[in-house]
Amino acid sequence: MNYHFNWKVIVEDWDKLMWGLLLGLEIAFGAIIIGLVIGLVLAFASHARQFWIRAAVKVYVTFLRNQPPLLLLFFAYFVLPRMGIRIDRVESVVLALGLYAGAQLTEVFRASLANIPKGIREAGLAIGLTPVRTNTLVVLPVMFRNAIPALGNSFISLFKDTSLAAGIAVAELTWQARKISTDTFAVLESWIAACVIYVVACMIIAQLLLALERKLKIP
Amino acid sequence: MIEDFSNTLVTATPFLLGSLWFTITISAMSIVIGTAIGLLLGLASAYGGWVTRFLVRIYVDIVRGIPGLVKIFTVFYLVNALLSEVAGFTLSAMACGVVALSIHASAQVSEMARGAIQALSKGQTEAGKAIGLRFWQVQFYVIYPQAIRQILPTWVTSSTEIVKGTTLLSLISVPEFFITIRELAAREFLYIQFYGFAMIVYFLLNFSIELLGAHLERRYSRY
Repeated sequence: MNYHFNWKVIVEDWDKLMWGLLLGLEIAFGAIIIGLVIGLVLAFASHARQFWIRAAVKVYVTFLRNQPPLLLLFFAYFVLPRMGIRIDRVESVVLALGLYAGAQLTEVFRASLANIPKGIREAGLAIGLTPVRTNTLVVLPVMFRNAIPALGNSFISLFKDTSLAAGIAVAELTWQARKISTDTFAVLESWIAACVIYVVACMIIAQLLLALERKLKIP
Repeated sequence: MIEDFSNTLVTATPFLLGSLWFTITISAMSIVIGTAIGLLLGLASAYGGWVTRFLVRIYVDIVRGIPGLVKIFTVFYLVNALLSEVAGFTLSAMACGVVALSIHASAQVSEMARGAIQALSKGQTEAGKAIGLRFWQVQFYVIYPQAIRQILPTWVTSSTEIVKGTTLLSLISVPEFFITIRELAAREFLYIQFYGFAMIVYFLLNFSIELLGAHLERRYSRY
């Protein structure tokens, strides 16, 4: 092969790649927090007595779940400022991915809410807790434990989706790799490095989540 | 504003339809190729020896650990560099997109197929053997009908993921639907209208795939 690998470029720019990775993780954290809030509220709302609330939740979830995340990202970045909402690049990524995650987490929480035995709720009510306290003190902790594996999966896929932020020039890992490849012409090295970093990061996150799951498991 | 948008929409209709067709073609090709490769890999890891299982495991873990966009860039640069070294030609951006999305789908389908086959109890295979079916007959008459029913819902979801993934190809300048929308929005300065329009189109596309999937599921759950 005539291609001469030059790994020095990657070593020199290693800290840029790591800062990019960190930014991606921060974005994923921000997005999953927005997603958790939306998902929790809508999961409870999807059991509401009023028909129109249930219908609204259904519409939100079905519409957002079927959108390409990149389109949501461009919508947040290009359209919201034109509607008078001031938002910077990173914020628009967090918002777009958060809304997208919200739709998916609603489904996750609804499923784990439906899996909770009726007796648990009734036991809470029977010892004299108000319905609200039954939900927050009894139902919610059980539901969270049921949802942890699915939550972990959606955190990992959110983290991978932060690579889309490169599309609007947010300096995360994918954008850094692209910059290194165009600046130094070390095209193969930079993309191989990006792939390896993503794979290793995903593996580490998965192991951490597994440890968390084991720790929170009811014996 | 509304008039501007409808005028542009009318003049741009041929481009929009052409690029929408492109999006549909790329998605369909990636789903078909990815499913075929994925099923083979899934069968290999369900029935193969430990070496095969180990190799498929590594492939699936690596492919699933890399974000779709990074996969697209990597195929675009890496595969083209290798091809031009070895064979003296390069793939077009569109072909690279299909390759990357097929790889993505193959890893997903492989996991589904393996899971579905392993979830069936051993008794199914043994019952097939007991009534005198050969290996392939057991596969076709006993295992696959049940495994397909298992796989369908997840497979439909990952097909919509592929349709969503085609938007990423706009970043390597494949003339698919999203890049046309971006160009029109930027040129005519009608961001809200065109991005809103794109949302409706992608929703209809993916939602009809979901409906089709639900229909197939009802058909297959009959027996």
